[in-house]
Amino acid sequence: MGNRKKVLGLALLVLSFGSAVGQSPDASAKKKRHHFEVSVGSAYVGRAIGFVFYDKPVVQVSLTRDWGAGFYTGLWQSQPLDGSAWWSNFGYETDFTVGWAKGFKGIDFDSGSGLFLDPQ
Amino acid sequence: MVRGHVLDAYLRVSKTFKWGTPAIQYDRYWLTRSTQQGHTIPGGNLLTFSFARDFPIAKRVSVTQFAKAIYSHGSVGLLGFENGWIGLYQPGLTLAHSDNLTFFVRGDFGGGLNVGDKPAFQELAVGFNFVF
Repeated sequence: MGNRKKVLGLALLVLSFGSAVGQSPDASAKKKRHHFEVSVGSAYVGRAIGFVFYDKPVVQVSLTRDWGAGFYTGLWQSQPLDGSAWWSNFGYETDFTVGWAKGFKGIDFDSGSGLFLDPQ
Repeated sequence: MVRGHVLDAYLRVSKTFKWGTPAIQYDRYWLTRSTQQGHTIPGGNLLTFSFARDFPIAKRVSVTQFAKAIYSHGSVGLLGFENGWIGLYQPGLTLAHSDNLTFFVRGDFGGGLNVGDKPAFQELAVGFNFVF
């Protein structure tokens, strides 16, 4: 389960950033370069991959930063709301990402590195 | 449980074809992964069919609809399975408080269409995003 969780978590993050990149941050209005999001969900679902990591309520926080010229960094955190012990289930996860994304002649490139921390 | 880690380096190359709101996107991933269990080099191909549309119902309030189907081919671990479909329907409601702050309610309904170990899933989420 641990390996699968990692694999799916990675895919989710990569796909998430892929979507963000596809929105062409350079063209965003007024050069707003930070994106902060907080959500409370009934479960932790890997939407892009169809997998339920944790089937109880979680709070998830993300902060991404566009540094210009295609460079970005991201921080993503998931935490259960059911009072479970610290880092005791797959509702817990912390991801760090740094990368570069750019489009050339209709083709998008996204390259980077991610560190994903989760229970084993 | 103890805290584990995955350290990845990735490259994604993608091409998107759009016809208004429907879109088809092809992605090719290359990946190197380091974990406590060792090092692997997975990668894969994804074909995503998506449809997104917003319906304004009041000033700053919109009903949003998003649906997509992903076909994974030879992903070798990228999605946790090979040669399978995932479907997702994501209805939502957004309230734009300002140019920077948006509140949302969102549902996620989907599952694996031909993958035995991917049961249907559903989720309801509320939250906000802030750009600055």
